Amino acid sequence: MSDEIPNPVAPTPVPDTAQEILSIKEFFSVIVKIATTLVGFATLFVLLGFTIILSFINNIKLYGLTNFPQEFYKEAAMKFHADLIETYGRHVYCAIALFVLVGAVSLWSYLFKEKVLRVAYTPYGITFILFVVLLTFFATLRIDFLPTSLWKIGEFRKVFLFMVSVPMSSLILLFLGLKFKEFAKRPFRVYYFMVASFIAIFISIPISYGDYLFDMNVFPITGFDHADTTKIESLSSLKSDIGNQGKSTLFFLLGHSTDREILFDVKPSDPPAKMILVDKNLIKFIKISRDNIMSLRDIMKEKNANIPVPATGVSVEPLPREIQDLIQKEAGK
Amino acid sequence: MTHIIGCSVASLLVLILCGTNCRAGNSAIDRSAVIEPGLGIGDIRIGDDMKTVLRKIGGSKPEGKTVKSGSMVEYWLSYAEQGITFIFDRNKILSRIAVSNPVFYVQQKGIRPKGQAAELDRLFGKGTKRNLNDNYELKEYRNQGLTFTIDKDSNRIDTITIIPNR
Repeated sequence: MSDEIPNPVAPTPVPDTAQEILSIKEFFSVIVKIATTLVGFATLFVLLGFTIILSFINNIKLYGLTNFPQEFYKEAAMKFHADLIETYGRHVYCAIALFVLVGAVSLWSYLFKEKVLRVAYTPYGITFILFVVLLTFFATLRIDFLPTSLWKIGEFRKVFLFMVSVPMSSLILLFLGLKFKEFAKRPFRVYYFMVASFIAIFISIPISYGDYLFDMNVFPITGFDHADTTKIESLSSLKSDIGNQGKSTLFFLLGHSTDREILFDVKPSDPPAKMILVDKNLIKFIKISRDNIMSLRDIMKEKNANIPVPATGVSVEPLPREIQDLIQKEAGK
Repeated sequence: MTHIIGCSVASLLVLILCGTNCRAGNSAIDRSAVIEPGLGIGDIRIGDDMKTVLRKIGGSKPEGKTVKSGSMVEYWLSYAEQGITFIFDRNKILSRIAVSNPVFYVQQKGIRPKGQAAELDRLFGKGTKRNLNDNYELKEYRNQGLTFTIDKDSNRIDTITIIPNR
């Protein structure tokens, strides 16, 4: 037996990595958190696209004619996000003003937190918040009542949607997130009111975007790829229907629906476009062009008394690409 | 202080959103509703090129179409909300402006789209009449820089077109 007395202060040797390794329970907890977050985002993404497509096809009266696959939803959601970022980039002064305003309000709320809360929870404060939220909600749902341009802001409707409604919805969500603990402990009425406001504005954004801003391309049909169209009866009849195009009527294809495809018989002097539904298998014989692509919303428009129509007997075609580019370049300024 | 800031923000929002129901913006079209026969509307003049016109209007995007008849080619750019169509020749020079929104009126004469066609003789003289189709006829005052499309059923003016003086 040794006389050496063990040093009570000396630490027990611990392997270097012991602190970093997660327990099995913690590891699975992290995995579940990551998975649910990803699934949550993906679901929201598809839901956003679904709402946009549903309100779009409803608005242009295509609902029920054919089924639109999930690719459409993803495309719509992607376009929404791309449009959001582009709008901030194109209207950079508005974006700066928005960030300054949000920053100033946040700073003010932080510095005078007590006072802000005291006022916010009074009937006056609640009425004011209700007023702003309702105003935003109704304006978001009917952005067609807003002017197309306001002062020097072109695309004012888009600017309103992305720079007023979206930040407002995000701020409410932030408020709900910060107050969640308090809500879990003791429910209070303001929280329910804010949840209702968030849902209302959050849902109204894709509805409004689908109704008034989202659009799809349709492609002009230039001919048929089958040498002997008479062998396929439906193709033969379609060819005779389309045979007269170029005089005053043009045909366009929507493409990528699930069962039947829609061809649009576009007569710009007599809108809205008429439609032909064809079997999906048939479109492999149709040749389309990537020039003179047209917008679906434009060709589905109801007759507009505010636009004079060309005289009968003239041929009407889409604008040449160079003019479309010029409009694109100059109209957004 | 809080009340003042709150009220200011609320007033600002109300101002912005109340202004929304009047669809007039601040583009070259919205600033002036006066039709100057043979010349144009507001800052936009017959003879301007397409780029200049688009720049002057700014903001909204027009609906466009190419209209062809024989060797004639025209580009029509329509602003449905304002009820105005700019017609450019093949060189993209503004050759005509057609308006069908009653907000526009002819300088000094006061006549507007949707007005009574019977007024035209009194205001401009006889003019030349031409049948367009079953529904419309055209009344031309080429020396006065205007033509009128008239709805035969209602005998009202459908569209006023500004053309160069001849």
